[in-house]
Amino acid sequence: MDRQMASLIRAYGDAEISPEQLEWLEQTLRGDPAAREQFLHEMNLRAVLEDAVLAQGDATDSHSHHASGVAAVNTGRTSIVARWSFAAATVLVASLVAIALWISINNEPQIATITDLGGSVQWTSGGGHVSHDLTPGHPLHGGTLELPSADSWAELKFTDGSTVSVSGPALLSISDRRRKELHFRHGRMSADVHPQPAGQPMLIHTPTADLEVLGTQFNVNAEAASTVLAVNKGSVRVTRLTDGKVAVVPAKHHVVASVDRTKEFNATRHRRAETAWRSQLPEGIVYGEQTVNDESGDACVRATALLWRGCQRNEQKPILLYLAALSVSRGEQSPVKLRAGARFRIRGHMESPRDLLVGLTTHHLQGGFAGKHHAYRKVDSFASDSGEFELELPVEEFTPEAPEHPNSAVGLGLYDWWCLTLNEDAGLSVFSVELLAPDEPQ
Amino acid sequence: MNIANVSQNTQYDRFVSLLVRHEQAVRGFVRSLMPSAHDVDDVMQEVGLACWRKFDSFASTDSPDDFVRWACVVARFEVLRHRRNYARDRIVLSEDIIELLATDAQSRLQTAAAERDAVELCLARLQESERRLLLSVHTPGDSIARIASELGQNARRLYSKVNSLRDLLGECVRRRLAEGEV
Repeated sequence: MDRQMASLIRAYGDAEISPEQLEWLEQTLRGDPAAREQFLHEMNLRAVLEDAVLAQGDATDSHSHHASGVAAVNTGRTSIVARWSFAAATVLVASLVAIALWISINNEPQIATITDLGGSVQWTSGGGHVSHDLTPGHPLHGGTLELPSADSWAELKFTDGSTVSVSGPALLSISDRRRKELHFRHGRMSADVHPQPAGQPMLIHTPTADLEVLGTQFNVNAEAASTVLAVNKGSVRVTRLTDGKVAVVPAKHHVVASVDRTKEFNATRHRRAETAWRSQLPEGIVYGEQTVNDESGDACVRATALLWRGCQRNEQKPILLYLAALSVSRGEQSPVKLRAGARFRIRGHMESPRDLLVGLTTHHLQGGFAGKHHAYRKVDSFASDSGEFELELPVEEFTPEAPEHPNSAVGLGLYDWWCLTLNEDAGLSVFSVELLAPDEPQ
Repeated sequence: MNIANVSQNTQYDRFVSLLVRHEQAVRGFVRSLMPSAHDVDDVMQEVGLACWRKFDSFASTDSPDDFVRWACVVARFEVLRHRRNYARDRIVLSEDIIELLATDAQSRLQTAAAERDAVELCLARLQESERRLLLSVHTPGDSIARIASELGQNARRLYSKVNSLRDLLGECVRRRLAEGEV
């Protein structure tokens, strides 16, 4: 140890160094790496002594001292959020001005309004203008509503008061013709349609069926190969596109319009609700890649990437999700009721375990779309060294995504089940999902 | 709760967990570049905020040192920024020296961590009166001159005694590091 150097460093640290001494210290530090090492060593020891003094003193003061960075972040977070909010507000104002301008130029008739939405939702107008910044109250003319994520949902209100809820993943185009005409490419829709003028039913086109609605409450599940219509009130006239057959579906009945014309096409009464359910993979995969469990040889679903863009009120940049989603009840099967005390058992594997977000899409048993509910589990609460996991989640643990959704999922029907990891690909594979009735053993 | 909130909260939880776990290391880095302990809290606040603002750019591998290295890069700029504010009225090292020291400090983070562990062990081996004297000169707001006056001792003699204790402590730390005891 260089004693003269040590003395200068200590004088500097004690704030007792003279300008001349400082000049000498600087010259030495500039040209001598060993002097810099000694300087850093001395200052590091000093830092520990200063910390020890604080630790010795008032524990509360010490804690607040050590937490200064964290506390600053907490305070700063507010200001960061405030700045983001300001930026978002600026963008919103700009968007509203643009929309107003656009409307005045195009002067199209308004067909519907978005009354509420959540998750990632995108609107493409008839003119090709794409909006990610939708907010409740956004007027809709002709265009396409895209809901790419399992947590996406939107509620629309038509000018006559009829409402339509769409749950993602889904794609819905609204015709700009005067009467209500929707092209529902895929997804789940729930509609409550007010009585329509004579000769002007609401029309819904899916890949496999045409629906004519005069006034009713119903749910539709549309896929490329089949459409399931479940009518809760009133009646709906359905045409199967493959052969032109027509069925009138009364209240509390459902029908499946498949591309396979050999399949039955008759209105069938709703079944009683089940209280337990088990996935039958590979059936029912709504999102994710169908794959095989190496050990058991059984089919499973692997989460795949989805860019979640959020919507205006979330005010944040896109998030990368790794999502696996399963359909539970599409209308032709028995509805699945979520009872108090029931729980989900999820078996799967993660290559690099991460926290899991598990979600449900729910509907009212005698009506339409109810909401989206989530439960969040920290990785250390369920992960094992091998990456395999078995996780149980009580239904009561699921909380609503939006305040408008029911506070609890208990008592609702289960439409879809999904789970995801955020930002990083954990190599998540889901082997099976079960809803265990309240009386089933652990 | 929605995905935006969960994502934000998860990111925030992860950040706070890393900051709390490694704050001492980052603080040690900052302190080694600052002329006095008084300003370290202010700079650490700025470092915490700057790290949170830039946390999206932090790409972690599995190494636990990643966050410290990354935070020290952020801290280095905060120290320099702070130096520009106080350099007018205090005797401080010039900016190029701080840059040199910061570069060296970033390559000795593991040594610094071992030194900190060793100091704690060595401090425990000092006699109670020695430990109290050594720590008393590092109490915020205190100075050797004030303590000397309070004890009725000659300041130069007391300063020399404190420096002897610092030598003793430094020797103990070097010995422990050499013997690989920490």
